[in-house]
Amino acid sequence: MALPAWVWFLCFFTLPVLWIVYYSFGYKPDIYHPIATDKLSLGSYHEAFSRAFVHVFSQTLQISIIGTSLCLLIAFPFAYWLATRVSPRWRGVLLGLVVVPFFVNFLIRTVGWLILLSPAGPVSSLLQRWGLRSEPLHLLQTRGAVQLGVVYNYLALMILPLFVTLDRLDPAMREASKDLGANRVKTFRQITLPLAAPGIVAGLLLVFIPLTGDYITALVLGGAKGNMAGVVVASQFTIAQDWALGAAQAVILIAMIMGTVAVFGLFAIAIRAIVRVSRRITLPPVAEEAV
Amino acid sequence: MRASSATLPPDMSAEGRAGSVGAGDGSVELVGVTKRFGTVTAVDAIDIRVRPGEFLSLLGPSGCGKTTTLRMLAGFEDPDEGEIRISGRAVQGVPPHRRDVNTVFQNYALFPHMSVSENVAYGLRQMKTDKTEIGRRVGEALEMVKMSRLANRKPREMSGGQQQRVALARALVNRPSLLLLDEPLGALDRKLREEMQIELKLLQSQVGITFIFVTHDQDEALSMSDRIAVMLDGRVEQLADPDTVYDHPRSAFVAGFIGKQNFFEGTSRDRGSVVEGDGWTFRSSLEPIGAVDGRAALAAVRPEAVRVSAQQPSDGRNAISGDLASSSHLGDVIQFVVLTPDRKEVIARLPRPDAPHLDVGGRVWCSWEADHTHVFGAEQVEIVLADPARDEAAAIAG
Amino acid sequence: MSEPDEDLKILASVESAQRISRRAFMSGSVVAAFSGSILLSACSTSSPGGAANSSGASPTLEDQLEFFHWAQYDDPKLFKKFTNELGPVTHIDTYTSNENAITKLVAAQGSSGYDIVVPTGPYIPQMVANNLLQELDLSKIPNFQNLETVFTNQPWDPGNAHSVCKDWGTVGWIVDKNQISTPINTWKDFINVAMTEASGNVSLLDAQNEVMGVYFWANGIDWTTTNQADLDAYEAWTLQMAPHVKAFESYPGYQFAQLGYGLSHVWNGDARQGFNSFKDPSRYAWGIGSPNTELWMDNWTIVQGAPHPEAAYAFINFILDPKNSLQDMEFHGYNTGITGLKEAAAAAKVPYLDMVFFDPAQLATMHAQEINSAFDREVQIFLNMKNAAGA
Repeated sequence: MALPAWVWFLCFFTLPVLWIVYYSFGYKPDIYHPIATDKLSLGSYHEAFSRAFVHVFSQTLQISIIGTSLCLLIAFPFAYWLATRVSPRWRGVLLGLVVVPFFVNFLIRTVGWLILLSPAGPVSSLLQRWGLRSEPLHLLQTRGAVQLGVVYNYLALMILPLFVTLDRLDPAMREASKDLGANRVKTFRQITLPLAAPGIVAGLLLVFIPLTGDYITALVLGGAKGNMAGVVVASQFTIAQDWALGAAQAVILIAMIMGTVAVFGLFAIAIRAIVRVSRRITLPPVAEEAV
Repeated sequence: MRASSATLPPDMSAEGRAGSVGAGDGSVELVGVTKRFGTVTAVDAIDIRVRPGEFLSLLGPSGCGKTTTLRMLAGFEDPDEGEIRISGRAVQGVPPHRRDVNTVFQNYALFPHMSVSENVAYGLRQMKTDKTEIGRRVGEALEMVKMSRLANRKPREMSGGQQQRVALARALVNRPSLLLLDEPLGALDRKLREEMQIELKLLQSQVGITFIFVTHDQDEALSMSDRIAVMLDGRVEQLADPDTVYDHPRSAFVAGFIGKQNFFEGTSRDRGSVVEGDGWTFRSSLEPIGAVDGRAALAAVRPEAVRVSAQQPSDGRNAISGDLASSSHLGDVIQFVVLTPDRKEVIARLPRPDAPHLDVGGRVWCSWEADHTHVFGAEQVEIVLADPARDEAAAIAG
Repeated sequence: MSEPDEDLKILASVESAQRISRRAFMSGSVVAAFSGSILLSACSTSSPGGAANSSGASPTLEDQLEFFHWAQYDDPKLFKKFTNELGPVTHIDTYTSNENAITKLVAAQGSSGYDIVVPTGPYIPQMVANNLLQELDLSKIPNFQNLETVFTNQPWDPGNAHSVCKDWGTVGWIVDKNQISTPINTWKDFINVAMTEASGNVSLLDAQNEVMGVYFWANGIDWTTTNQADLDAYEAWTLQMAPHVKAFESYPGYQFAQLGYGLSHVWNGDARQGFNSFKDPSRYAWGIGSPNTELWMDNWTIVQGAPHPEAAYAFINFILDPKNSLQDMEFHGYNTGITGLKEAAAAAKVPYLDMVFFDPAQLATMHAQEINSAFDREVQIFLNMKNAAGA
């Protein structure tokens, strides 16, 4: 017998989150016990906000917003080209190539960049050989490396939903638009973009949410400068073994993600409302029409 | 600038779409137009001239090049050779959005995120038309297609027929000199399709715009068109008015594609005035097409020209005997299917009052006049007998 | 500052240079994603009674042995050899910090299923207090006598009641002399150079203990202090130091040249891996902390509730065998404390022995950490320093 959907939702989503929220009000009693909840307080939140990791959170938000935007900017033209210009046979091959990195563990993929970007690695060597740089390029352990790493790691999550919506978009839509006098730019803005909106939203959420919580990319490529909130939260759980503080930080991270999504969501809704109002046509009153 | 706009390429001659090519008379000329996709020649050096205000159908089986021709007129494809002129001006290199042409797409291609009135207003908005003017013209256009009451619906909330009307309004509201219709009725059921055929024709005579109508349905083409261009394999087989195409097909393909046709394969004699087969000899008083004596030829006769009788006719008509396989009512006519000894079906259709009462399974005679017998030469035989498109066409016709 | 022996560097094999030393090459819990568990020996399971038994009087060995261990911390060939000789099939789960391991053992309350865990010395007293470790029967470890007495009977475990030395090491630095001209002889020099000439190109160990040590040793403060004023000063220093740090890196050794660091805070075994890998070792210098520095010791212990205690004793005895111990030392690069190991290593021409073995004068400057009431604060100061470094 099928369980009601809310049971599923409760077990796999709500309960774990509620547990984290509950822990965030606890404290760490001694070094051998990561959490105690016999006394509940906001102490962990106070501690969380009083520390340098507020910096890390704002840096994380920057990295994830820039990273998500870059993913969209790179993925959209690619997905559009793939859906509209590439023959179905090559489309499969190219989509396969997009997905191939996913067959490799996330960590290993990221470690690959460690080799590519190291000062003794191929990127740096090539730049030096071509005389574009006189010294080894120190790309690793910078924020830029993390930015690059997250774009690489999450790009496919943007490409796939975009491709699916753009592929489903009847080419006749664009032709109809051009036929009615809109040039390519106007067609893109008035037809392709609004019709691809569900895919764009899906891609943005699919990339932004895990990217904001990512810690592997920052841990491997970031060094001291490319720190991200995920690393901070993880180290409270694994190194400091202070689950209360870690949980409080996790709750703040979740709130930050939801807040950002809400702000952008409201922004998008406002834009859509403006577009709709500007598009609205007032018809002159019609005499009662014969059927 | 002293250069007159007439010497400039059409797309450079004016700012807006309205002035670019259009405001013309809506005449269309295709001269030696060829379009290839890779190694496939989709359109093969066709010549078509369409008069202003004419209703022309491009009729043919799928793959005959009719849609490609339409797309070249709309500007979605560029011809590899030849020239296209709309309202007297060459349009090569003019992008779709600058042509004074609008299209009704096969599946309507209504914008799903816009309401009916927004869909119809789309073209006018692109031309930066004044808002009240847009409202007025959209209102008129919707009234014209009887869709005013659904102006705020979304396309997905409407039936196929309603969507069809909106698509029509969306195209006509721009007052193009040429309207292209790509199988616009294909998705409708038969009854609705027949109603829309009448309405479309009426509408066209009201607005006076040149219509080019692509279809694979010969009934549709016959009932609406001023002229029909029957296409096969990228070529125009015949371009004429419906009566001429029906009564005087210029090829066996046209003969078979338009309406139902009984074909008999035999050998040409007497400069094509006689076709001789296995156990039969048919005479024709019509001009034979491509027949060479001593070589294969087809004799063709329409079912409605065939009479069926129990006795052998004695008046020198072409005749062949066989067993009556079935007789069935098709509304106001009765259709007889007669199986000749060499297992060939002959179909006859007679108005009900004229139809004899015959027993199925009995031996009967089919007969017809020499002046209802068309003769086509050998090179046509293969097309008719081998081309699966003919079966498809026959199925549609039936 | 001691220079690596020029004669020995040619003996360094590329293979050994690429090996990953103590506690794998990446810090943090990522390692868990990497290794999870590694079945090292797939040798056919011998029946418990059929196995050769080197520890005389002990009862029959179980057919398995479960480790809860740091990743890549022993020569895998030794586990195979153990299985071949004595029978138990070994299986290793890994952890990334003592705290991490202890938390899991506490949570399991004796039902973890692990036999051997390898904590660092100062963590042992509280583990014993929490009843996480079995008292050892040293009579089942005859090879215990092979350990130098200086590495037995440690302050955190008098009489080796619960632990036996696995290996020990210290902490120091590697310098790229092409980048850094100022000589570094003491922790004070280290801090000065890190904040000036090497600023932005320094890696510190991703370990709060050792980072804390740098400050306290440089300032002549006992690093086991619980004095709040000392800790406040330390915290202030971390925020000063943070902006100069390029990375918190637990194993900078073999990546040192590749990543182009100027100065790295490093464990001696990892530094040795670095020198084994350098194309031009003379360009780099290794220094041991001064005037005081760390002595850390990791220890073999048997988990309370271990399902295979006899196999665990057998393994500890096996690894304390001088031949096996030398082989392990060559793998991880740390002194295992076995009598005569240095001589045996020299005879085997193992390179860079001055980075493994230290004379009594050096040893006198090395001090063990203790886990005390300041511990949680120290951890948070360190984590906050890492956060501040990225700001």
